[in-house]
Amino acid sequence: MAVDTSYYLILSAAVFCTGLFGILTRRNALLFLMSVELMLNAANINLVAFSQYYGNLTGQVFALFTMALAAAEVAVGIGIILVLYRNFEDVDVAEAATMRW
Amino acid sequence: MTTRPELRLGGHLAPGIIAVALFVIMAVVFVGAPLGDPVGFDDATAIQNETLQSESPTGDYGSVSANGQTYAVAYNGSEETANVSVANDPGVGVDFREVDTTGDGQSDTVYAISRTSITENIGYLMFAVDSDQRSAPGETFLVAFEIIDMVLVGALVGAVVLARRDEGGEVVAALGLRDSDESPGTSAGQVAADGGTEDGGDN
Repeated sequence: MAVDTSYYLILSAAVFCTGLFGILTRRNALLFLMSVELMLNAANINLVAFSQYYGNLTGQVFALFTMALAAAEVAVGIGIILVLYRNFEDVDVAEAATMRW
Repeated sequence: MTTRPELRLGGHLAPGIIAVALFVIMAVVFVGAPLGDPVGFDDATAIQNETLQSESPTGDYGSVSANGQTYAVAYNGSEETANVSVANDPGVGVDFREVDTTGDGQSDTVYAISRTSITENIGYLMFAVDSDQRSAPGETFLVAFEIIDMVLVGALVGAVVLARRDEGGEVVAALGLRDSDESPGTSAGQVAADGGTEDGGDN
């Protein structure tokens, strides 16, 4: 009756690889941030899938914590992108090659 | 001669191909993984072991709440065959499940079960409360919740305290000492937190 766990894993792999594709091929920092979020959410899908696989709710509760930390991470990431834009007047990640400028 | 768009092939495609190849490898591994049937939450450990009736349960079942207690009632036609009070009144409704205890392929016992919803269980686990209401196993996360709470509040306060910007040589803080009475000459909304600079101080 329940959906087989391997389908969830394939969905998770697809989302993860979409994020990886974005990180490897794009240079826009905002798209970078979106891609990182996709990879994070792929991990969340795995947590919930294995929670259902083992019949244990720990994975689902842990996924909630991951979401909260992802939100905080996005706030920091957007802050960094804002500074990047202010200093380089661009959000191209290849422009900022050094930690100091 | 017409022109048409062409796919530009070359080494610049390699990163994208790597990502797609990774997905193919992962998919092959996951399809072939020897994962059994998921346990799931449908048949959660919610059975209250309250035997409702031990004869052939051919009738309908219902739950009745009266005098603050929940009663599980079995009907056979219009005849009430059993009426037991459900221990530890679940308060979320009583469900019934027929169980084959003798192994002859026919269900012979009806259990009254209480099923706490998954979302409700998550709440109980996150805040480590009401352990007798939980119907699915899991670890409690109260300590982790509090630690992350403190860390995020610290990050927020740190961000507000550290937020500042230069404005015409003056450092303007988001949470500055904006007391316009002490320095009436300062323009409204600006604080010279660095004591004033060449063009901004003591104006």
